[in-house]
Amino acid sequence: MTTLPPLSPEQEREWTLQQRAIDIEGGRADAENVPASYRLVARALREPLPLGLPDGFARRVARRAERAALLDARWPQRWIVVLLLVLFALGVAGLVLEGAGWLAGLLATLPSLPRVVNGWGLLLLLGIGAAHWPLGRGASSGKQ
Amino acid sequence: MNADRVLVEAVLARRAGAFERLVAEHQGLCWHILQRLVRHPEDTRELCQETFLRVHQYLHQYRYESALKSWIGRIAYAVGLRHLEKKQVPLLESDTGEATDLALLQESDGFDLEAAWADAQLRERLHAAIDALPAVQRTLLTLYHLDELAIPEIAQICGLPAGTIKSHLFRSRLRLRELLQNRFGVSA
Repeated sequence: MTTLPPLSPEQEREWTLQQRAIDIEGGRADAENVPASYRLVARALREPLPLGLPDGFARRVARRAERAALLDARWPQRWIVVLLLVLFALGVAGLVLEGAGWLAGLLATLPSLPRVVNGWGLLLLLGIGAAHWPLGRGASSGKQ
Repeated sequence: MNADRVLVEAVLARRAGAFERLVAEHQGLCWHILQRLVRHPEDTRELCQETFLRVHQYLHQYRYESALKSWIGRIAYAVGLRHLEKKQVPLLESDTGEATDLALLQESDGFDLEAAWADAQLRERLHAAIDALPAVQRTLLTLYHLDELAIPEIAQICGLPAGTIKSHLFRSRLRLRELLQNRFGVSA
């Protein structure tokens, strides 16, 4: 919006009279040396505007705002539930459609497993298990 | 703790009746701003409701940097301006920089104030002249005269520089006085 230039000295004098009229009409100054037209304008501007809001407006708006806030708070929770359901449904659909293929692929890898778990591989796994065994037991006994 | 903080914290804590109290306290200012901007009672009611719904939604963002009254007023003013912009209503006159020639307007007048005030037709015309001012000017006049807000408070609500508000107030009041002199036969 446009910024207006400051008032000239002549305009400042007019401004002072306007302000004095406000003070007089507001009962904050004596009615001296201010022409009637200034006071008439000040008085008209102080006249109350009729309030057009219906009775109980505050109560109705408050109820509506609180209801809207409640709905707002519920939406994220509902979206999470919907997303989880969609993911679950996609998982089930994937299993139904592709499950047989996945199972066949898994079974095809099984013959190679013994090569991993025998010999050095088995020894390594046993070693790791033995190394962690006292640690796990110590932690569980520490909790008690 | 000041009254604004107590009320805001009660609303944020969802205490029963707190938001209703907030609306009841500030609905007058909200009505003044919106009624002066849009001038249509039905639209004003709807916009007042929209304002308070926004206040409720964003109250957690209020940082106590200005009075709660000014913060709510700023929301009402923004809601009203957006409504007018949608309807393509001009907010300000294009020639607001041009003031009435003060030399043509004399300070002294010779009429009786109380007799003039008792003239219902004159008052009606004066109110019609206030109503005919551009939206922003008549809103500034109402905030200053009726709500008795100081210019810095009005600046917070309207986002205008204090000097510009002063100029608008000055020019609008000058124009009303000019109308008294020229149109209504009041000798100046």
